[in-house]
Amino acid sequence: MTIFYKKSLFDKFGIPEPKTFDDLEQACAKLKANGIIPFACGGKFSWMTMRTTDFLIEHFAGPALHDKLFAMEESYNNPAVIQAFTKLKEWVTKGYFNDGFISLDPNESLPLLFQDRAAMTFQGPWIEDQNVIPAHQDPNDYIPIIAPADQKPVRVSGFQEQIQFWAKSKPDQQKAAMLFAAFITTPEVAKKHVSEFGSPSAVVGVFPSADRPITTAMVKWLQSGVQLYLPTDQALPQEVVNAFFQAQDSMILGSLTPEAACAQIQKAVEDYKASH
Amino acid sequence: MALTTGPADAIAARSGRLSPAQRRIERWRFLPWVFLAPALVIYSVVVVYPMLYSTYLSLFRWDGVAPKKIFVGFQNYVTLLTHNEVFWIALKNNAIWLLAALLVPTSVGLGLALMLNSRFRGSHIFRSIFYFPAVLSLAVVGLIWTWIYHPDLGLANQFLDAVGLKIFKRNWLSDPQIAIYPVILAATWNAVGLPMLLFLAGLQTIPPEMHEAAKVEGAGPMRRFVYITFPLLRETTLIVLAITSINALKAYDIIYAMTNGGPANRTQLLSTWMYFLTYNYNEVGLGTAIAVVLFSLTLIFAIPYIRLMTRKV
Repeated sequence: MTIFYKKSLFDKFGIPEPKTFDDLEQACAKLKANGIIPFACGGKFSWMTMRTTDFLIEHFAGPALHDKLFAMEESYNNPAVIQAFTKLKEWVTKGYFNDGFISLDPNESLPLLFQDRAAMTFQGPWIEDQNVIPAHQDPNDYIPIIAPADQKPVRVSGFQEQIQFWAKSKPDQQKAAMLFAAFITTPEVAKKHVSEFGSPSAVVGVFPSADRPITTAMVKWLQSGVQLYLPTDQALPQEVVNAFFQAQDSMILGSLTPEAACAQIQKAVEDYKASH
Repeated sequence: MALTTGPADAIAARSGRLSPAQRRIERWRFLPWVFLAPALVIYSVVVVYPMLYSTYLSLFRWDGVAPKKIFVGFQNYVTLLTHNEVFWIALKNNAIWLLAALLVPTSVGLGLALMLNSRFRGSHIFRSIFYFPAVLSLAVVGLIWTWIYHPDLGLANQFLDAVGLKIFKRNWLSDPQIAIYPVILAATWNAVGLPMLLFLAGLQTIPPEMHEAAKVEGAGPMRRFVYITFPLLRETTLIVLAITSINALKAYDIIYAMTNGGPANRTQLLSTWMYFLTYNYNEVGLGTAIAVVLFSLTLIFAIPYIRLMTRKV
């Protein structure tokens, strides 16, 4: 998952594609000054807002600390995390998200992009087939960029879809399932059935069809070494994720300071560790 | 099969034995149970057993998956009352919802029923129009009103813009101070139809002669309403109030559709918080403890309602 920008709007206001975090903030400021909402977001279920929070943590904390937070080996009271939450609050205050985004369904935020009211969104490659093409939008106008966290190694938020086998199945069935998995991930088969298996494919050299520019672009940079960090809701236990969502949303609504929000998440981490 | 008593019954009665007719009644005494059995079995399996099992689970700490449940007694109830801030938010929202449900849909329903009870051209069409929202599911009502409240694209803010009342524009569902009220308004739109229909049925049982006699005596519309209509609608009013209260406590789907309990849990109700705790947060003990609390609150309204409905005339 990463930041998508609408090329036609960026071109209209002479904004270059953001390559660094500073570029991104400058783009937001310029869009806002021109009456365009920088980010279309639907925060009703909290996970769409979380993508931006995760990106800000990746930017301020860096990959090593970010991974330690996920392993619950580092405190959420760390100044880098507080900085990330403070930045999120700053962006909300500056109006970089659509009005009332905190209670909007993610799908209810997308018309803002389609109607040229918003210029960016934090989404995954599925936006191409599920939203952009069905809404008769030109997929070439929606450009995914490597969200500029200014860190090394370069990472974006993401997760792998996995094939799961039933552990209690018979050994010969498990063996057959493994053979099947190996078969469908051979380059020839994966290439032939890429549309059925879904994209981006994990098989090197397998690209979507030419009429899928968004997914193709993402596959290209994933296959050229861009790494992934898990989204918070997949990296942490459910109890901690709940506290994260509650703290993040409460901070956005102004009932918690960034420091208090981080302390609340850390308390959930400690409670979880104490009870497991 | 006639079960009349005769000389044989009289003799049997004197001797203390069962008469042939009594023996026949005795033989078929189990029959009602046979007819009731299918419904009783289904009711026991899908209602009574889960209810009792939920109460049992509320005494344990359990994530819903682990093989072992840890007995904690009434600790889940103590945790809810002392450590669960959202429980109190949900309880307060339920109280607001209940109060609004008792006042608004019932009085609007009564008002509409009084208007539509007088026969005028097209009254049937108006009855259908006003009843229409009641046939929609609350999930659909939620979807419709979510778009009405959309901060940028919704009808509410665009209308306020168009009539020059920008000052009243709000982020209706994302302002934690007010978010519950727009949801209640949407639910009210759906809830008016049933009271209206029940009041209409009640009004049609009032003999017109009573109103005519009162008119002859010089009573105006308000006096006739206060001294004739309203007292004669007493039973209907009680039924409407009971159904409305129970429906208000059951409210769940519209919250799920409109706000998902947010922002930051400010629009949770006991029913939605029960679901969140049980299925999203795997706190089955806490979730079922809320179910028990909610069930007890519902009984306050359900018991008088059931007694009223089953009262022998």
